[in-house]
Amino acid sequence: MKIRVFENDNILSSIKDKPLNIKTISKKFVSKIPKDKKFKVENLFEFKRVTGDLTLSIIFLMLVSFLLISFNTESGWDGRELSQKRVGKILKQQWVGPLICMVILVPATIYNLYQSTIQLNINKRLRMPSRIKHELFQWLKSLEFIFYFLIYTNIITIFGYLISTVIFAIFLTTRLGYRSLEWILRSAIAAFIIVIIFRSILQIKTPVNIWLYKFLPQNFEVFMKIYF
Amino acid sequence: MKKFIIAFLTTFTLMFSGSANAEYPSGPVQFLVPWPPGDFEDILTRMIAEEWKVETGMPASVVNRPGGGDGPFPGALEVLDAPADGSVIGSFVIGVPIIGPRIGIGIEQDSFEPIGVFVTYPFVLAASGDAPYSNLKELAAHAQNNDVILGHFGEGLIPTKATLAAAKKLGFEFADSSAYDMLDCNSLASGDADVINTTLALIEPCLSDIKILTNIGVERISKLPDVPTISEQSGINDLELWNGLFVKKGTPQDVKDKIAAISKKTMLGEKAQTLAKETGARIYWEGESESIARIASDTVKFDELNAILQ
Amino acid sequence: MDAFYLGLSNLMNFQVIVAILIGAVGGVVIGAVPGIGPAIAIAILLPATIFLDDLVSLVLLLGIYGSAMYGGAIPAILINTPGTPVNALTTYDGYSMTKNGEAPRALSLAYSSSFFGGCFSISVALICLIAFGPYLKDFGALFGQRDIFMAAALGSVLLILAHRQNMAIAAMLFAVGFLITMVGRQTTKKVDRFTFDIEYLASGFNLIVVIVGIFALSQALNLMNGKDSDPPEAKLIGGLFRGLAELKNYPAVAFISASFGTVMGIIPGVGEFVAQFFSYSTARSLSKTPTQFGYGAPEGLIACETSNNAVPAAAMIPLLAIGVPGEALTAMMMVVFFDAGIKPGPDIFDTAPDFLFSLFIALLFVNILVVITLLFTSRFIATIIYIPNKFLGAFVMILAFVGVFSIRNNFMDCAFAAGFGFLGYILRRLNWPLVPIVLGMVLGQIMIEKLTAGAGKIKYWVDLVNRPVSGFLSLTIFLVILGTLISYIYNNYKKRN
Repeated sequence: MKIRVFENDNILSSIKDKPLNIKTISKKFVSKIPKDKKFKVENLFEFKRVTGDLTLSIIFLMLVSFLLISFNTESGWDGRELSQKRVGKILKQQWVGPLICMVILVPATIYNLYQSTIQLNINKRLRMPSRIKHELFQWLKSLEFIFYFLIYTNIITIFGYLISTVIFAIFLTTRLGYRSLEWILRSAIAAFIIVIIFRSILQIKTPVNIWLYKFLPQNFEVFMKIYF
Repeated sequence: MKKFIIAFLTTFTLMFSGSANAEYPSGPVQFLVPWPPGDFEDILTRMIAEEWKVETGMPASVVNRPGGGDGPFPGALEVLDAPADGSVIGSFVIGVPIIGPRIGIGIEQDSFEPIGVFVTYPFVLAASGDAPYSNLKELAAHAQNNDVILGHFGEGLIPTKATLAAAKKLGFEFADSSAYDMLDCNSLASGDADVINTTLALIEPCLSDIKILTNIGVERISKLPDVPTISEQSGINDLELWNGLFVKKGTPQDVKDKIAAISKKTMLGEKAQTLAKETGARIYWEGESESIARIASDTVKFDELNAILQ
Repeated sequence: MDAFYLGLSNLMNFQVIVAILIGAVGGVVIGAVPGIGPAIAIAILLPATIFLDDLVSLVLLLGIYGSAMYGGAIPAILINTPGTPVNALTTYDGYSMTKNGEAPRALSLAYSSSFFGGCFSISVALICLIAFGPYLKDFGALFGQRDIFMAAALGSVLLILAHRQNMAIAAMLFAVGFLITMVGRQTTKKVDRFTFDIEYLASGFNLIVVIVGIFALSQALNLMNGKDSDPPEAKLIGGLFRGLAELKNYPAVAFISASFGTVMGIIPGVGEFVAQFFSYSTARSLSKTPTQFGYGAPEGLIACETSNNAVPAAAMIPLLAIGVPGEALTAMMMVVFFDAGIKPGPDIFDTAPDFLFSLFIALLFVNILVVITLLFTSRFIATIIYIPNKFLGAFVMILAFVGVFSIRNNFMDCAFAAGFGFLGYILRRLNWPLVPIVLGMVLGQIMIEKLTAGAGKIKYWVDLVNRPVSGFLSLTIFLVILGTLISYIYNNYKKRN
């Protein structure tokens, strides 16, 4: 499409010769509502399907199919007695709950997958780049922290709640990038306070057979076991 | 807070006094009641927990773990999961040691060791005030042509079986039955069941408005001398429903003795005995050996009940 | 009325007063720090409070619940980040006011509206208690097992329908939550449901473990994987008392929003979001300056804060009256009631009326305490909101262990909580709602329990609905579903033409 250009320079030249007369000073008009950002409350509840949505929908579909297949044996459906005189005797059986779940779950999953594929088709048509690899990589990155969490739960039986919490706190702080001494001290003190509040004062239950405490003299061992 | 300081100082001084083993209780103790709050075992266990705090200075709490109509067994399994050091004490009905081993959920004959038995429930069969029957015979006549629904605490439990056995002996059948976790005045008032198997404590507020058909136990309840027992009315044996304290097997003897001492003091004390007089329950203390004997004899009676139901 | 005085005297106990203080101030701090909210805090503190006295632990948790939304308004107004999810709407008008340099006015207006909303619903609750309490027992006679089943079913339907644009996802996650509670061994019936012969699954999943995993651990992962935000500096200059009086310029908005909040709190399944949405829309349509909304309208701020603070006290009502919790947080507190020896349900006014009064009076004290504290310490709290996200995430993870392990002392619980945390993290990234899973667990369990218990009396299918209350509720369910279907078809029809 060609853009029309003014071939007639006269208009421009006539403006160029005469300087603009800016005697009247008026405030520049500023709209209270920026044109492109009209506020809608509904936007708060807007839901747009993002990258990775289709993946999770497919995973849910697989999960639901697995549950459907195992429904027969796992929920008591194979022991069903549907010919009872009283409806109540049917409703008391074990498979009623799982059946209600399946009735809601299966249509919802299928419909959800359908909606997800619609969004996928829209994206394909608009040639929007798929960032699915990046998204999946983010998901896997979080597994690293879950791994740390599980290690933490295991070292508690070795080192006791106090020491393992302090170690875990300091380790996480440095892993997350707060490497200065000030931050390390802050996290250690915060961890210590957490242990005091929850273990010593509120006496929550933590594992009792602690390998490290075995090396302490008897009385100290008892003290540490109760309060830390 | 005060108790924490006392406990802290006690242990601190113990540290330096050279005692070899920490004395029980060395930490907080949990009493587990596998029913929702409100019934006798709950009230009495809470009394024991209060006394515990006073006597030992250590915190004691009572947690309710209702089984949702499945009886006390899910809660009982939690006591099995705990360590055998007296930190978790179960407050169980007769059903747990007698029926528990028979339903294959992980409870064995010797999984729990009794500390003692402390209450016999005034267990009754109740119907709402406007029911057209006042005792078991009239109920039997009514049930021939009408639907009667029984509400109970669990199909496998003893009071339920006793009621069903009595029904069989008297020649009628309940149209259906439902398992509840809590059977109280509301269950009758809202029409969820026609007759319910429950304890007097739970129907105390409306006792004057409802009819007690029979009492499931060895003797008539002192508060209701006109209500005949189920064995009088139907000829089945006189099984009694009690509640006791249990710990996991393998708990050391001194731990058990300590728990027994505090519980005995509470049960024979004024507060508990006043409760007994007011409600018609029998509150006492039977120690370990008597409890074991009672469990054995009750098992025999239970087998008789099962024979009737076959 | 003596129950009222008895309830009041129950609170005059040193431990209880300390608990109120800690709950109020702690709740504000928890709400103020974006990234942690009352759900996470209550889930973690719940097992830890077992050894405290019953009223003490309940008051502590209630204090946190009631005061978190005060704190949540602070970062919402100052740095455009809602402290708790329910403060999301506050960011629009509040932050715009801050941009205009009126931060103290916004803050004090938020506090006074929250206070008004809280006191409104508490007074409604207290009046209902005093007036209708003695009749609750007769009212309770109307509520049998089948009626409570219908109430829970209505709550579930409303929950799913409230997610207008992602109903399929809400339904899917609700059913998943429902299924999770079904897992386990049914002891007396000798049927294992979905246990796949794995020993751990035989004992089923515990609600708190799932909540800590889905809310707390997923949030921790979210914070740790994200970036530390660079929030704008906010200066608090000027007195905080100006905005307090401004509330009386808008009585209509305040009353209407508070009523919406109270009503939405009482209906199970609905929650703060819908309450806020309705009150905001109503306020906007009633206002003389609707275009200001979203850009610094005080009515908008009042509408949000009043309605979301009216919900906590109101949400306790269905829990106490019929035993059906309306909301994820109240569901967690049901556990605390049991441990206190109180059984929520129609009998509660007979068995423990003073307890009910103590609860609501304590909530009132919390509200008063919070407002007084905030007026003097807002500056200090405004510094806390700048805790860096990743650091916060690390400590949420540490605290999550506290919450999970103290329930059943089981390492497999921790592993499963971690698994749920991973799932929750993915759901958060995809903007899928998390609440249906929790409410699916809670409402699903109630529904199945009541259905099995009430099944004795059901001879024909019609017996499910031929009682007054269950009939009314099932009719409501039917009408609500029908209404949604009709509006959906109508919208589609409009779109095509």
